[in-house]
Amino acid sequence: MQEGISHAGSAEIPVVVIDCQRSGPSTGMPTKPEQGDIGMLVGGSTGDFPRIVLGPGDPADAFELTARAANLAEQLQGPVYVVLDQVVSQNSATVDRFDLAAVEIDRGKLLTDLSGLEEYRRYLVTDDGISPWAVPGTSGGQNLVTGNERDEWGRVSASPANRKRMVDKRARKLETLRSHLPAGRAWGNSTATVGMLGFGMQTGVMREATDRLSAMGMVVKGFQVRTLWPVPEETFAFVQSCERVYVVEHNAGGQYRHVLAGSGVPPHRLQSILRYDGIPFRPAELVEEVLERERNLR
Amino acid sequence: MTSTTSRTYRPAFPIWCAGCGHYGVQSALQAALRQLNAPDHDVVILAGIGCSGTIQNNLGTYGYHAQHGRVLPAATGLALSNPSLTVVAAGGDGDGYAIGVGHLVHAFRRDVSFTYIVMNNETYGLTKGQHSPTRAFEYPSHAEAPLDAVAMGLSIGSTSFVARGYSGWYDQLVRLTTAALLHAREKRGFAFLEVISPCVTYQDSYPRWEHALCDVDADASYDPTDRAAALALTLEVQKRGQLPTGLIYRAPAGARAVYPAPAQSELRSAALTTRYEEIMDGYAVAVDLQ
Repeated sequence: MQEGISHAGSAEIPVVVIDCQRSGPSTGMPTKPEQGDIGMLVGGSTGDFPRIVLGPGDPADAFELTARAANLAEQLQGPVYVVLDQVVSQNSATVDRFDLAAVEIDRGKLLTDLSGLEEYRRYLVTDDGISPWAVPGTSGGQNLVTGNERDEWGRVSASPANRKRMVDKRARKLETLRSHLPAGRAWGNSTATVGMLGFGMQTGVMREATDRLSAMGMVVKGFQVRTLWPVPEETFAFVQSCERVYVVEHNAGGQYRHVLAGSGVPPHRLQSILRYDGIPFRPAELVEEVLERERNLR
Repeated sequence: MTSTTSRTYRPAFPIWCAGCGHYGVQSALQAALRQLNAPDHDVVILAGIGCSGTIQNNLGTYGYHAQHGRVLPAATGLALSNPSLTVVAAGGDGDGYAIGVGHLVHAFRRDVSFTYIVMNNETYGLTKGQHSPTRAFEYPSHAEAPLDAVAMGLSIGSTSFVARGYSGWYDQLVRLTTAALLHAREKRGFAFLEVISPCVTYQDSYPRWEHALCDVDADASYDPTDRAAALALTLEVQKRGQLPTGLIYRAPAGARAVYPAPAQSELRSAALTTRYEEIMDGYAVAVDLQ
C-alpha cells in the first residue's frame, strides 16, 4: 500500500483510503482493536509529499468526515486517509438519517472546458501549489501523469532547479488547505488545566470519563482530534491551555503523542495513557488512571 | 489526429536504443490509432516501468506512468469509469509477467474491454539485462522454464482475444494492433497482444526469432475461434522450441454477454440518493405513541 500512497502523492492523484486499524504488527490479533497505524499514516512511504489524516469517532462522524475526505482529496490532488479502528468501523448504532442533500461536492481545480486556455500544463507551478487538473476524455487536456519527478508539462525531469520547485509546490498545497480541515470537538470546563485528548475509539470513552471526573469535582476538559494530520492550530491551542494533557491511545509506543511532539506541541505537557492488549478502555478505567496519576503528582 | 484549442505537452522522442523492437510497436500503435481515427483526448496510454514504460510519452494522447506491475488495475479502473475512452495498457515482460502477473490472470478472467500490449524482450533492459520470466535459462543448480502468457490466457475460460506479433513483421503487427483496439472498442472484452520485441543491447534475439515463430495467419485452414485448437497448436509448436504468432484466438462476435455497468461506476448522485433513501426507509419502524 505504501508504494501506491507515495505514487498518488507524487503524481498528484486524488485518493481516499479508509484504514480500519486492528492490532498489529503483521497479522497481529485478528480482529482486536488498536490504533497502531498512526505513525505509518502520518510518515509512511518514500519521499516528501502532502497528505491528510482524518479520524472519525462514531458512525455519524464517519459519514461526515468521509464526504469531507473526498472533497479534500480532489482539492489536494493527493492521498487523504480516513482512519478508523475496529471499534468505530464495526460500531452499530441508531443514528439520525444522514442528510445527503447537505453534502456539498467540491472537486477542487477540476477543468472541464479548456477552450479558453492558450495552453495547458498539468503540473503548472502556482502560488497556492495546486495545479488545475483535467481527466482523460477532456478535449485539449491531454497530459502525462507520472510518479517520477517531472516538469510542468509532465515530462520526466531530474533538473535540480525543477526538482526543488516541484517539491515546494506540492508542499504548498497542504498549507493552502489548512483552513478547510475539519475541526475537532472540545467539551468540559474550558478553564480546566487538565485535559484528555484522543481520537477514534477513545472519543466516547473519554467523554464519559471526563463527565464522571467532573461529577467527582475535578476541573477537566476533553478534546476529540478529528484532523490528525497536519496537526491543526486548535490542537496546539488546546494543549497550550493545559498544564497536563492525557493523550489516550491504543498502541504501545504513544504514536500520536510522538506526532504531536514532532509538530512542536510542548512535549512536557503530554502524558500518554496507553493500552495494547486488544481490549477497549472502559470509562471507569480511564477515571481510575487519571485519578491515580493526579494523586502521584502530590 | 485531431487538433485541439489549447496547446499541451509536446510528445517526446523515444529513449530506446537504435534497433530496439519497441520502435516497431510504437509505429504499429500510431498506425492503428490513425486507422481508428480516435481523437487524442479520447485515448489513454498507460505504461508500466522499464524501457517500454516510456511509450506513453511519445504519442500526444493522455499518458499515465503506472507503478511497477500495476498497469492493469489502473487500466481496468479507467475503462470502467469511462467506457467511451480508448484504453491501451502497455509494458514489458518484466513488469507484466513478474511483479504484475497476478493482475494479468484477473484481467483475462474479468474480460474488461481494453487493450494490453506486452513488449516481450526476454530481459530487464533498463536495469542492464537480467533474466526475465520469459527467458529459458539453465543455472548451475536448476533450470527455469519460460512463461508463455498467450498459453496462460488460452487456459482461462473467459479469455476473448489473444494474439502475438513480432517487431520484425511490421505489416502483421499493424493488423494485430488494429484488431486488438477494435475488439476492445466494440466492447468484446480484454484484448491481449504480446509482441516479441528484441532488446538489441542485452538480448539480441532477432536472428533466433526469425526461425522460431510459427505464423498462424499464414495458414488458411487455421480457425482462430477454436480455443481448444489454439491451445493444442501452442503446445505442439512449443515442443519444437517455437512460439505461435498471429491472431491466435478471438471469441466470435456476440459470444460474450454485454454486462451492465458495474455498481462502482454508478456516478449519478441523484440515483445514489434515491437508493439510500430506499435503504433507510427499510429500517423505519412504526411506533404507536398512544
